[in-house]
Amino acid sequence: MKKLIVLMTILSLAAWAGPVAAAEVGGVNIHGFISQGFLYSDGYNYLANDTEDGSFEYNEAGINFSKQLTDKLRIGLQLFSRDIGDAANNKVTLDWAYADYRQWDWLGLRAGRIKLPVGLYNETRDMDMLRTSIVLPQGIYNDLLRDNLVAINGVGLYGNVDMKGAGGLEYQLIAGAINSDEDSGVGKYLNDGLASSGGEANGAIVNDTSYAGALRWETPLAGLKLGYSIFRSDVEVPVAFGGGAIQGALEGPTTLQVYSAEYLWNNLSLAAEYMQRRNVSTMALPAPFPSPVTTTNSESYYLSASYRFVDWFTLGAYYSEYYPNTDDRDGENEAIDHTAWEKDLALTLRFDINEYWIFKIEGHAVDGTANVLAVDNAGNDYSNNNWYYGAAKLTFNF
Amino acid sequence: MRIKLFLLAIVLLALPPSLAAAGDVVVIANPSVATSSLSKQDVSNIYQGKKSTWDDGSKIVFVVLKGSAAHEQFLTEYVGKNDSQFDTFWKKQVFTGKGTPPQAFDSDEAMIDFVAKTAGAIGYVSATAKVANVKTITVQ
Repeated sequence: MKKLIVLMTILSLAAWAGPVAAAEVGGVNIHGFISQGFLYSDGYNYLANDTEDGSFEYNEAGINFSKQLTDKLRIGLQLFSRDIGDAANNKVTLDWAYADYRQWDWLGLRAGRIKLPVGLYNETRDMDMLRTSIVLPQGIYNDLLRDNLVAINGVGLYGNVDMKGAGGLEYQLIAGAINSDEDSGVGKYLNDGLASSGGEANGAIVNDTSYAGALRWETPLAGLKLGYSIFRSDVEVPVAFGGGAIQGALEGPTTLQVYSAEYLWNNLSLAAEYMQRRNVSTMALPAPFPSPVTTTNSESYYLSASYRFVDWFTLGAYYSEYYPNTDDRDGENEAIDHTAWEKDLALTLRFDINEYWIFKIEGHAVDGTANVLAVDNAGNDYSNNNWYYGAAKLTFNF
Repeated sequence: MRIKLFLLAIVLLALPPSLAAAGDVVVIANPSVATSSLSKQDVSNIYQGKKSTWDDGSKIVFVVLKGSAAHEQFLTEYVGKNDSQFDTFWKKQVFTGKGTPPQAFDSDEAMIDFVAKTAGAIGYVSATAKVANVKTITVQ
């Protein structure tokens, strides 16, 4: 990790001094990014475990290498590291690495570790410079669950079909396995859910068989793009209760569907997405304990707008809602009703200092605590349903 | 008065930069390219990496003219994106491993020279540029 940060720091300092282009060594293209953020909240610790005091434990860095070997064959990989509070902790991971053979424009094959095209932003969720907001709507793009959804080890088909007067259709079909590091944030999220029953994740989170499909239609109306994506994964997590006295496993399928719309008109960008998630979880325990099966349907949507007033300044906003259990939107069955929803109004100011440097500042007014983790808020009486958080981020990319 | 000045400033800031810098654009290609006309959809697909070969199967090499009024107008008219949106599109390709952004030139002369010497190349220049050793493509 140190070498990655040193390299990125040297490159970023060079960019202050003057123009720096993407590096190319022996036909290998090199690109990278590094973001350092700051989170501050009132009422609850959010995303990171100590945001009520302000937290700099919020960063991402990545560097990629790619080469076009022939007209049809391309290879590349990206190394990635992030920190989000007491999760992830800047461990260097392989973000993506695959060979891409494009036989025709309408049919190509990818093999390796491939980013998952779920919604408009999942593939690019770690690259702050590619959007206006700092924090994506957490109902769909939950930052702690990132590693469970970001990439798959497998194979995929993809292509672009020119439908002439009906626009263009882009598709991706991917199948493979996901191995999530329990320290990546997924383990923390699971432990938060298991804490009330005295359990905790006790090993690697394995998704042996996962599938994803995505369709994106560039409509004949200039600037309007519609999308649909689906992801299904069978998850298995070893779980321990009573300090390891009872060993079990949490297993079952998760199905995620996202409907997307994006419209670009001059300097205006509008986007809206709607997500449905269905979890069927079995807590497999040794006899004589029962193995309960739980089915949960979740739902989230957001509307966003951003406008680039001048080259260096963009103003953005979004409103999102998230319901972790659609059968109990009002929290009537919850001990604290506002844990049943999260309604987030966000406003972002983005400043493009130059081609390589971006600074953003953002405020969120939140109603509800559906994504507030109890493990980050020990001793909090959850008396507030309305609370605020803010984020700032400085990003360099080349 | 202050409020009027403030509102005027907001309106001026909101005007797209291209309004003040619009000019005609000529699409050019290497003489080896068989076609003489393309649809807007073809041009858009080429510049988003979705169309990678000419009809005869040869590779398309597309290049851009950065920092010019012609660049902004070309993108708006034929690709349906402004400069910022086009850069973001290609960064998305770069950081997900799907592609490499097009080579960029900073003058009509450099663009014409590259297109003239590179088989399968396509580019664009301002209408006032002296075009030689390349063919002009009609966009319908």
